Amino acid sequence: MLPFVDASRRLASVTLAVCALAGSGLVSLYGLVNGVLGCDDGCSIRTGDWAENKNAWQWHAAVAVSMIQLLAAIVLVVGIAKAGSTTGRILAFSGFLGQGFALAIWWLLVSSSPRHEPLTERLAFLSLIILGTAATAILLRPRY
Amino acid sequence: MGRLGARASAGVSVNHGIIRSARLFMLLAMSAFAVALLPATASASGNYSIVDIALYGSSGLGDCNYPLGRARINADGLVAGTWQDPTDYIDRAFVYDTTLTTLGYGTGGGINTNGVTTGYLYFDPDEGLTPPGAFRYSDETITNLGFPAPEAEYPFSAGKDINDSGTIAADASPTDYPPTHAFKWDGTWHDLGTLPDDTYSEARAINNSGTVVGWSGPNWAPAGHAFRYSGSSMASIPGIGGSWSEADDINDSGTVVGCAYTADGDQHAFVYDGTSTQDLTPSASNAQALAINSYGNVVGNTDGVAFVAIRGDLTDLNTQIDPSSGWVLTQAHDINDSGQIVGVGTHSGATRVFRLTPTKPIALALPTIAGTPEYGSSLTASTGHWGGPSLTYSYQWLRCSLAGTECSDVDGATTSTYTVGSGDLGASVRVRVTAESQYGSESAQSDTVQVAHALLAEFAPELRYDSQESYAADSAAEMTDNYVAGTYSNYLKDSDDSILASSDPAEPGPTLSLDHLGSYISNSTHVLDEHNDTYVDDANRLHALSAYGNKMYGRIVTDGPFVWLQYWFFYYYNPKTFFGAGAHEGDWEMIEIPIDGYGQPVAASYSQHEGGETCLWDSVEKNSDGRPVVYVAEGSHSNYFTAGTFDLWRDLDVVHDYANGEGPNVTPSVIDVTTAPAWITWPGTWGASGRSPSSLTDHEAWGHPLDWNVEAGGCRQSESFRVHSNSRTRDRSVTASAPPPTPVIRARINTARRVLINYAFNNYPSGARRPWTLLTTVVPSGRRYFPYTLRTRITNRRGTIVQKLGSGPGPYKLLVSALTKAGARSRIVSLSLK
Repeated sequence: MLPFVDASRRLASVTLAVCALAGSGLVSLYGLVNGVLGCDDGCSIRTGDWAENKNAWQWHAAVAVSMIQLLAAIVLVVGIAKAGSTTGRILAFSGFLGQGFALAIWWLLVSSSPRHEPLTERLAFLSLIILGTAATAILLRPRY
Repeated sequence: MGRLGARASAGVSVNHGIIRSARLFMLLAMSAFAVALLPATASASGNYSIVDIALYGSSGLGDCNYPLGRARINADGLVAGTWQDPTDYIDRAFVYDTTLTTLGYGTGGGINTNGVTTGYLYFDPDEGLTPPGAFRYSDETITNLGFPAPEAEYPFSAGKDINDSGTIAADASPTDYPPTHAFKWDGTWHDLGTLPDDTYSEARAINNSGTVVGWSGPNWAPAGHAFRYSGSSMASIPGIGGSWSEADDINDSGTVVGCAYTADGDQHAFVYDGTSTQDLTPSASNAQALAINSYGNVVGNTDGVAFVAIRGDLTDLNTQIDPSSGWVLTQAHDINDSGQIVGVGTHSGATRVFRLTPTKPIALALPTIAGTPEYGSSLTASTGHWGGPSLTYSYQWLRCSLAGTECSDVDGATTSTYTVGSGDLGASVRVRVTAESQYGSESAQSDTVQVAHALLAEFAPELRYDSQESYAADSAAEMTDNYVAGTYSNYLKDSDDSILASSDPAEPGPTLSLDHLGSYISNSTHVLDEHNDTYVDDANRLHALSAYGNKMYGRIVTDGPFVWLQYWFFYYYNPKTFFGAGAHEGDWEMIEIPIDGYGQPVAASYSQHEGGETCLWDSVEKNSDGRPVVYVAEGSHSNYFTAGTFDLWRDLDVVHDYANGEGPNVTPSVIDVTTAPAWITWPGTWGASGRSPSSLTDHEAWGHPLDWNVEAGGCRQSESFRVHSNSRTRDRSVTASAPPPTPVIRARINTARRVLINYAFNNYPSGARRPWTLLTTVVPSGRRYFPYTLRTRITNRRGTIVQKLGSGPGPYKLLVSALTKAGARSRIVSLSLK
C-alpha cells in the first residue's frame, strides 16, 4: 500500500497528465481537421502562404504532427501512471519531449502562414499551458 | 461675368440708340427677304472646302465667351446666323444656302432639318425702344412669337434653337425685365424656371426629344451651372471643379457639350454623357465646346483656334483647309451629321462666317458589325457614317486576338458580309471599311466582336440548390455594399486591421464598392470584412434586391486547343463546417466548359472545394434549354453533376456534401467579365476568415483553365467518361455514413412574425450519431426570394428555436434537419407554416 502522500501525488500527477492529454487532443483535432480540409476555397496560386497552396507539404505535416502530439500525450499519461519504474520515467520524459517537439513544429507551421498568423499567440499560450501541465505532472509523480 | 454678361447674352443690350436712328434699315428688315449681295467664295483644297458666307455680326461674347452671333447649320447645309453691315454696324439675322437672305435687324438662332429658323428681331423699329422678340421663319414667312409676359414693364423674348418638331428653346422675361428665364415655345410659352436657389437662366439648345440645355445662376453673382431640362424638371449637370459651367448643345442621344471653369480658373470644353463629365481640353486655358452632332462629333474653339473632335480626338481645323486660303479659323459654332461645320474666322483682316464641307472622306461614325458572332453565322458590316462627297466603299475583314490587340486580314473576306469560320473561334473579328472620293480615301475599323461571346449566354448553367441552402450565387458587390445605416457596415481592412474603406457612405473615409476595389492602391494583404457577422440576414436582404440577386460572372479565355467558357459564382458566406472548422466569409466557385473548333462544348468541369470534377459534355445533365445543370451543395457551394450526398475526403467517409437539388432552380444573369474590370484583379481576400478566397485572378482556373481541368477529378458518374489523367482519382460514389436521428418538429408563426420551432429527438436508432446542429430553413413563396436557413447548435434532446421568416412572402414552408459534428445530415422534415 502506498503512503498517503505518494497516493495524492500520483493522483495529482495522473490528473494533470490527463489534462495535458485533453489539451493536446484539442490541438491535435485542430490539426487533423485542418489537414483534412486543406485550403479548400482559400486555395490560390499566389506565393507566400503555404496555407493557400493545396499541394503544400505542410498540410501533410499538420496531420502527422497532430498524430505525434496525440501519441506523445498518451505516452505521457502512461509514463506517469507507471510512476517509479524506469519504463515509466522513460515514457513520461519521452511523452513530454514528444509534446514539446510537436507543439514547436505546430508553432512553426502556424507562424509561417500569414493566414494563420492570428492564431500564433493563442497557440503559444496553449502550448505553454500544455507543457507546463505536463511538466508539473512529471515533477509531482511519486519517486519510490 | 455674372449678370451683366448674362444680360448681354440674351441679346437685349444691343445699342437701342443705333436702332432708333436706323428706320430705313428697319423697313428693309421688315420686308424680310432682302438678299445681301455679299461674295461667297469657296476654296476646295485640303480636307474641307470653305465657303465665305458673310461678315460676322455680333462679335460680342456672353458668359463662358459664348458667341452671341452664333451660326447654326442643319442637315442640308443650310446656315442660320448673324451678319453685320460694316456701314452701320447693325446685326442682321440671316439664312444662307448658296445665297444670303437677310431676315431683319436682330440675331439668328437655330435652324432645324426643315429649314425653319429662329432668333430674335426688332419687329417695330419705329418705336425705337421696343424690345426684341423671338421669331420663327418658315416658307419665307416671319412669325412674331410675342412675349410670354407682354404686360411686363420690359417684355422681351429671343429664340435660341429649334428642333425638328418646331419647338423652340428661348430666353424671355417671365414677369418683369429682370430676371431672364429659359423658356420653351411650342405654340405657347413654357417657363422652364431655374435650378434651386437660382433666379436666372438661359437656354442654349434643344434636341428632338425636347430636352433643353443652358445654364442657371443667381442674379448678379459670378456663378452659373449647366442644366438639362427634360420632362418637367431642370437638373444640374456636373462641372469640372470650377465656379461656372454652361451647356451649349445637346444631341438626340442626350450627350451635352459646353464649357466650364476648372478649379484653377481655366475655361475648358466638356462633354457630359448623362452620367459623367469629361474634360475635352484638359491642357487649354480658354476653350469651349459649342455643338455636337448625332455621332458625337464635337466642335468649338480652344485658345483661339477652331477645332473638331471626332471620337475625342481634337483637330485644329486650320490644318484641314487649304493653307493658301488666307483663312484663320477661330471658332467652330456647329456641325451637322454630314460633317459640315460653320463658324467664324478672319480673312483679309475681317471676321467672317464660314462653312466647311468635307472633301476627303471623314469617318464621323465607325463601321459596325451586325449578327450573332458564332460559328457558321453571317456577320454584316455597316459602312459607319462618313462625311465627304460621292463616296464608294470597300471592305476587309480582320481576325484578331480575343482582346482585339493583334489583327490580320482574312484572305478573300472583302464584302460587306462574312461567315464565321472555325478559325475565328476563340478569336475576335472586326471589319475595315475604306471610303473613297475623288479627293482621296480614308479607312476606319469597327470595334471587335468576340466570336465566342454568344456562347456565354447559350451555355449559362442552371443552378439547382439544395433545399436548405441559404446563400445564392449573387453579385460580388454584396461584399462591398452591405451596410445598415447607423448600425453596421462592411469594411476594407489592411493587414493591421485598420479600416481603409467602409460600405456606409456616412462613415469617414472612402466608400467601399466594387469600383473602389478597382481604383485604389491595393495589395494582397487587404481584406474585405463582414464586420457584423450577420451573414444570413445580410445575404437574404441583399439577394432580394434585383441589383444583387442571381448574378454570375462569365468570361471567355483561350488556353490550349480550346476556348473556355467560365462562369464564376460569388456566395456571401460559406457556413459549411467540419468539427467547427471551414466556415468562411466570401466564397467563389466556378464551372468551365471547353469549346472545340466547331463551337461545340466538349466537357464541363465543376469546382468542388480545392479541386473539381470533369465530365464529358454528353454525360452532363442539361435542362430543357440545353444548359448544363449544376447541383450546388448546401453550405459549401461545391458543384456536382448529379443530386446526392458526396464524400469529400479520401474515401474516409467523414466529410460530406449534400446537394439534393430540391431548392430554387435558377440560371443567374451573366455579367461578362472577359475584359476583366478593374475590381476583378483586386489582389486582396474576399472575406476575413482563414479560408476566405483570395483574388479571382489568383485562382488556378482563372489563368490556366486547361491545367485546372486536367487536375480536376474525373467524372464520377462513370469511369468510362473520365477524360483527363487524375492522380487523385478515387471512388467518390455516394456514401452512406451514419446520420443523426431525424428530429420531430412542431412549428408555428407567432404574432411577432417569428417562427417558433419545437424539436425533439425521441429515438436514437442503432448506429445513429449525436445531433450537433439543427438546420431550420424557411422557404418563402415567389422565385425572387431565397430560403432563410438558421444553423443552431443544440445540446439537448428537445428544445425551442426562434427564427426569422426572411425576406420573401408567404405562405411558408419549414424544412428541418440535424447535422452531426462531422456534418452528416439527417432526413429533412418538411411542414407548412401557419
